[in-house]
Amino acid sequence: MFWHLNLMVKMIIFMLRIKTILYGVLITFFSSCGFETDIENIPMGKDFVSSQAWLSLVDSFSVNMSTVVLDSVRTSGTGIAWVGSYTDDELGNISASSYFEIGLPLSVNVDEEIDRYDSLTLVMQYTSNYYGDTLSDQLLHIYQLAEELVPEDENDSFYNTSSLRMKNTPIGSITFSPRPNRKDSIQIRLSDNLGRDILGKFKNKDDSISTEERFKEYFRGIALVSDVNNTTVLGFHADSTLRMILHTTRQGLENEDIENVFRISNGSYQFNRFTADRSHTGLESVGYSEKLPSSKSGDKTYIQSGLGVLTRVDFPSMQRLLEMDQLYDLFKVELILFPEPGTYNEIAPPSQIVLYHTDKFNRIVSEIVDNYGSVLAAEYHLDSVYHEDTRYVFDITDFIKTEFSNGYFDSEHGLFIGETYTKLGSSLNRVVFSDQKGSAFKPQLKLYFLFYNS
Amino acid sequence: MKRFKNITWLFLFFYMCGVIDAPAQNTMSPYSIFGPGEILSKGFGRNIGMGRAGLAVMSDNRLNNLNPASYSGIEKQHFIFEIGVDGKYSDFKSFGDDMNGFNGNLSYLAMGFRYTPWLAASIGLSPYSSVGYNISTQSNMEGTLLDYTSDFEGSGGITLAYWAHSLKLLDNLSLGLNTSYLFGPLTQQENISQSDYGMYYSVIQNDYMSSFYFDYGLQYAFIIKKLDFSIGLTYAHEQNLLSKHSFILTDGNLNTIAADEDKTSHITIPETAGLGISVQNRGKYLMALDYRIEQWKGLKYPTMSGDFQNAHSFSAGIEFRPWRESVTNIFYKNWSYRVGGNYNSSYLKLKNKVIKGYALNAGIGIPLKDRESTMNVAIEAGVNGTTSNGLIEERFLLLHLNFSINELWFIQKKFY
Repeated sequence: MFWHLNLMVKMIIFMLRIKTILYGVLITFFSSCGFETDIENIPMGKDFVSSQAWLSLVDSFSVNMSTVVLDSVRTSGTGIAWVGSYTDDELGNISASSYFEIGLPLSVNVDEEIDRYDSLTLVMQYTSNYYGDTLSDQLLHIYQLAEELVPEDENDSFYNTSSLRMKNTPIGSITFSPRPNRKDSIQIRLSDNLGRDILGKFKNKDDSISTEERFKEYFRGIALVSDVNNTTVLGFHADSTLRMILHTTRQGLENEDIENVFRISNGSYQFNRFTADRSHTGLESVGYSEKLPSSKSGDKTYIQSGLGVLTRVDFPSMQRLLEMDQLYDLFKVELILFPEPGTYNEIAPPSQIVLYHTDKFNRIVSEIVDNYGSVLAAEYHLDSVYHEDTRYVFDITDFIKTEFSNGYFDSEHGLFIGETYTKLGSSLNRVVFSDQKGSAFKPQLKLYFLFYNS
Repeated sequence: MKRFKNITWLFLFFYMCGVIDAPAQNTMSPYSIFGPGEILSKGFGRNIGMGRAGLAVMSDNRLNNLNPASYSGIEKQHFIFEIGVDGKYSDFKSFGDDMNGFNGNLSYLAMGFRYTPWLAASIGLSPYSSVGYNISTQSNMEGTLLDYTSDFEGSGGITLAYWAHSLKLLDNLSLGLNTSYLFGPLTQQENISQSDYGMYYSVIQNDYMSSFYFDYGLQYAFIIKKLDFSIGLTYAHEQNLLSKHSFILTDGNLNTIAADEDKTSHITIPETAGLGISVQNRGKYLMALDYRIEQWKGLKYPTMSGDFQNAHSFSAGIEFRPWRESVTNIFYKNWSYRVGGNYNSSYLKLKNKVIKGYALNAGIGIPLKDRESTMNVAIEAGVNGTTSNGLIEERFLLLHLNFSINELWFIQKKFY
């Protein structure tokens, strides 16, 4: 074999010597040595290709909707005092009452000799937020609290279910025609006995007005309570505009009107109590922290923030994703929920709702954030013309992918849908979601796929 | 010093053409999406002028790579070097579409020589197949009313490096064995986009071929009535070319979603047989007629739908010298003139239509200064495919330039 190799080497050396190789070089310059084309992408040949990857939208994964009522929602320190009651077509009779402490005036202006008692009033400013019908007259009662506001837990919080004992008789009542959309106030005449008593204590420099603590023992606070026949729940500012005013007349050559203003003293302790009578509604049979399937509430689910009513969404068949034969990349998952037509005209749904992780005990675990750490929110989209496309759209891609990251999908891991945690206890906002099977408004779970063969 | 200069030229030469690193892209045909791509005909300058016929033709001062048995015709002490370049203009027509383009490339490099009176060899490099296409499609995104776009880009091709041996068994009987190494990538990139949803993906599938391939030949010569007759046979059994298949799926941000690197795969090259006959009246004419069959039927290719069918091809050509060769002749009187044609029914049957092609060829052989080397120029004009049933017709004009360089081996030039 060696002669063979030797021959080859000799031959190659010989070849390199020959000048005719220059012919080749010439040829090289003559040819363009490669592929030159001015062809654009054109559809010619489209019947020839067999695609190895294709896009598809799959919306056949089922969505189970249910309603869960949390056992309590924190309602203290929201800055709004809700009071009133109204009957919601969907969720029954809702009542709100508000509790707060009143502090001493910053400076007391009382002359023991010549000041004469005039009146004691409570002034409250509308927030323009209300639920129900404001056309008819409303009746509110003002009670003096019979016990101190002591938070229920270490979070210094009060809840929609918190309640405090009140003195038996109201210290004031008012029947009025509400004007919540004006920047207006209502003024409620309070008990003269109470007013005279307070003035007397100032004149006598009584021990009970010497410090805030002593005053709180004397005057525990105020409860705003609605009459049962009211038709609206009104929101008032629970801030420095919420005042109890002691009106006196300073007698002299010309009488002078004097006001001593008591303001809300500890804003973070102010809270609202919300109650609901849900008899004859879809949620009649709901228990606290229990899933009530939409099928038991007229194929609807609910959100009612201040009462801790949340919609729970479960994806029972999501595990199927892992069993698919076809290779895929999940590009996006959208959850689209439609408010039930006819339910959002009177009470506008919240402009934004968010998602919470929840577990099989129906507890709020945490707010869901996207991969950038911001809260995953869906904006309210109103189709005011056709009422066909009023909806919330959630991009739950990251949630689904995270759930799958450990290789399986825990179907106990559902999602709560409601307002953000900070807003949850501050309103009675409500949404009614449709879960009518076969209707255009049934919830949609849209999975955007790339399927491929490797 | 001169040697180094030549080496430099040689490296520059290979580098520029990228023959070693990446095979030249020799096609832009949408049909090249199928199988191993567009399979490029063998044959050097002389064959191309003769309609690509020549299974029965012996190598002489010009190599004939159509049949490995032919190399035993290389004359004593001759060293033959072949180089060819192609320039091809193509016009593609389909229903409502028209495109055209030009590409030029180095076509082959080869050399042939004789070890002993009974053993000759040739080594060379030539393209075996080529892939080049750009196809854009629109598809409905299932579950929506929207379409998405898929752009398919094919590239690459298989290069063939061969080392053929021809054994002269008898004075008129030669056997040939051709050992080839086939290598090169077949690549398809599919770009998917749906702008409304912002979905962008790219799938790159690459098959890098590297495999040996063998084919065989026989030539038998006889004389009838002072005419030199020759019969040529070629055969190659069905062979699998191994490939490393790689698959990469990336998203719109070029993040790799899935990748599969080292999957061994293969494509199958069918059983092939050829029969040729030639008649020669030395110094006057040479006629050659070839028939070839490729058993594609039943072969399966990945990423391909539809069946193949057996391919047949016929080629015929004639080379003649109208004037007796003489040093005193005016230049064109010493030229060889060639005409021919070929017809093929390819392995593709699409939409119930067999993809067929035919071409007419013409060429000249111009002797160079030393009388043994020639410059061969050939043109081929042809049609492939059809526009009926929504298919594509290619009309092409190919210009081929080839040098057959003869050097005398182990003889000092000063004696010559």
